[in-house]
Amino acid sequence: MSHHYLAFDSVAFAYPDGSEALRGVSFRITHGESVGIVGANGAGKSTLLLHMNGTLAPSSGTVDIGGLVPGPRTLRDLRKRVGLVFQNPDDQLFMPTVEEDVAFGPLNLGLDSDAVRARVGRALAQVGGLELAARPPHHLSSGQKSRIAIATVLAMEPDVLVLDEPAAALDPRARRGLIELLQSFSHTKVVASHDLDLILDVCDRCMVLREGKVAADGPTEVILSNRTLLEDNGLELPLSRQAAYRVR
Amino acid sequence: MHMADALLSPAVGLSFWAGSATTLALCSRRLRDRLEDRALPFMGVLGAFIFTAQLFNFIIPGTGSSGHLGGGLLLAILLGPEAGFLVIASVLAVQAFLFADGGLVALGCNIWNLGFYPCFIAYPLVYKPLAGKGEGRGRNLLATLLAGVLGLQLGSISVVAETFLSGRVELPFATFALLMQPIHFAIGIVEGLVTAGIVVSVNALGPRSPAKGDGASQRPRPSLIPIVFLGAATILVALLLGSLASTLPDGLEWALEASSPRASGGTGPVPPAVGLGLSNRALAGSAALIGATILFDAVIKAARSWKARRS
Amino acid sequence: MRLEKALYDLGRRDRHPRVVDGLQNLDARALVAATAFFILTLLSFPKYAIVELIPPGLLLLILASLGDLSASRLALRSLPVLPFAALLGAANPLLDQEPYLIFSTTIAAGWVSYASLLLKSLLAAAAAAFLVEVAGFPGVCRALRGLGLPSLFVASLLFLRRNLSILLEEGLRLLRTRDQRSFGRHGRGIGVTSRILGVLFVRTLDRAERVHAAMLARGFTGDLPGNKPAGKPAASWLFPVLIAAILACLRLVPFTELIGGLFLGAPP
Repeated sequence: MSHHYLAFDSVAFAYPDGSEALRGVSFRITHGESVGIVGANGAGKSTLLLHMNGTLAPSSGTVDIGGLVPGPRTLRDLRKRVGLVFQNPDDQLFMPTVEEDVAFGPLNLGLDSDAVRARVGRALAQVGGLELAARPPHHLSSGQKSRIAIATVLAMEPDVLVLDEPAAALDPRARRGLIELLQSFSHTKVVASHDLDLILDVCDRCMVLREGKVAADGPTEVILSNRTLLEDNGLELPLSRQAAYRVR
Repeated sequence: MHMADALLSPAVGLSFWAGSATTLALCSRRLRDRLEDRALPFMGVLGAFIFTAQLFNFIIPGTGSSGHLGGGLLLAILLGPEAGFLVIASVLAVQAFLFADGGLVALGCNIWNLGFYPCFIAYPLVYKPLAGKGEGRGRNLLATLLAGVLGLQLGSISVVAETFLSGRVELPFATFALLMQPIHFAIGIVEGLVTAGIVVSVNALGPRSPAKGDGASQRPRPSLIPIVFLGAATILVALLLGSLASTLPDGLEWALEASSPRASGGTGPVPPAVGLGLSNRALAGSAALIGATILFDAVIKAARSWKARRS
Repeated sequence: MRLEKALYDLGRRDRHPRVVDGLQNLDARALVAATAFFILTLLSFPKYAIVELIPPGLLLLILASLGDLSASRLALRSLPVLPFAALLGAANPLLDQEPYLIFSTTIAAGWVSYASLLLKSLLAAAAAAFLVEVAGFPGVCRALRGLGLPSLFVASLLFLRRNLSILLEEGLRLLRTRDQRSFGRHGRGIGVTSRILGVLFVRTLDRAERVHAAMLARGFTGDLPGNKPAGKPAASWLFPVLIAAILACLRLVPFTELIGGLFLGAPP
């Protein structure tokens, strides 16, 4: 596996209607880290994630993904390296069967059918979805859909896995399954989520976004225990931490 | 207005399939050029939208009855005629294959009737000139109404023409037309009103377009004339070929019928001189064949369950 | 409510698994061709054909039997085709008064042509249902692509099918919101419903953008990755050729007459 990193330097981004979503974000994520991105709604989490696979390009500042600068010619390689799992699995499962959805990425990469089949098998096995291979996506439960959506990206065998609100629509058991799944991955991980307890379980490092800027960046344990910091940025302590502070 | 297969002759059905397929090919090519990799997700998702929208019932004030949307004109206005035609075609195809709403051979006719006229006649010839570039609510509403009515009138007379050319239905052309046109006039008004309402509602939610860089500096849209010409020409040529070819089987049929035992009526009483009738032999033969098939089916089912029990 | 019914029909279709049997192994293009031959032959039968339609109908039943498809399910899927045909043909008995003889009674020939029309409609729809059951909708779509229809169109069909349940559910949610705030006839008119459809349209465009982004994220460049229609190509084409041959015989030879002749003896 190549040594890779994600380096953002003073990245700013404004949408066509003028709203500034990012106002100078800088950080460096290195090989093997698992980083959580938290922040209130509108803080810029999703926008930040969309810069990581070249879907959006910064208005100013630079994005450097393992030596690749997102641009028309690098997009293909970029998307091989960075796999982005979007928030709503229904947006990502668009083929008639699970198998074809998982095969979509590898086929687009130009692999031959044997290689594709192997990748599909591996990806489905990783998420525990082998028995779902022939099913149409609208047959799956939301937990299954989430896992298969991840499989569709795993099949590209990226170096970096970026997930946007992966547990949003999951019931408690499916959520637990997802957390265990993420913990089992050795990829570099970037997870944006409201679910602070999930971030605690999955990520070693945590960045707090507020109004398009990085308000804090450090070890998860430290950041997510700092009640004042969290509340200043429109968040609160993870539920699992709150009992300790409950006044009886 | 979805035609069934049995209303059409093979010649008419295939001619309109040829015309619709040609038009589809041209629209697909243009959409790829204009929308590039956005074409597929947009056309697919919008197809589901139109399908859904067609299931919404509108209570028509004053009449108490309900109407619903066709969608060709709406898509032409919001996304362009090529997109409109392709999406309507996809909706009709799904309806035919999955819901038996319209026949497979008739699909070509249905796509033409419900897609071609609103997108390539009513929209460019009535709506666009009248509505211009946002002339005002009243003018827009009038443009949409007229375009809606025209699209449906043409589609409806097209159904009548196709049925008449096929010769499977006894209704004379004039009677059929007199029945169809007024009904579809009312449907056209509903189409126009609903379309106008949706367009207003969409525009109020903010300008948007799926084409990259669409806006003031967009490339001029290619003319629709080649599409109209090629589509209509394909149909006319196919119809001509079809009518030439059908004189042969007609001859064959005539020869067969002349020699068929049906004319003599079989073993029953002597029929009237015209010779139309169902011979007893035909009935007996049918009964025998049906019986044999039921037997065959039972044997297959037994074999299947025997095989299943063994494994 | 038609929306709910559509959702239910879709769901019911999904819940009954497609039977995977011998006929599935055929190249879907061959199945499409065979179905086309079948329907076109049906349409070429003359106006008053009734007993002549029975052998093709039985052929379909035999194929269904071989493919482990239930005839009743095929029949059920074919019913929606009847109303329009029934409506248009209804004038036949009135307009065509030529005498037609069955056993010893005479009826207007218009009834016979009407019955023929309905029977043809039903059989054509049953053939279509057969095709979709055996090949599956994705299979039919791939076959159409293989037969020359534009790939954008065919791919749109697959996407439509995939997104249909999502959009129907969203439409249903909006409808229920509307119904909850309307009373009797009020609040369900064109104005309100158009606004709802406008909202649905914009949401649909948003959804299309998201799906587009997800496709790009997995390397999409504009065409769905090439999918060769599956199945043994050479052997598959034997099927439509065989069917065409059988159909030609059924169309040109008065089959039922001949069989009946075996029992009742040749005409004098």
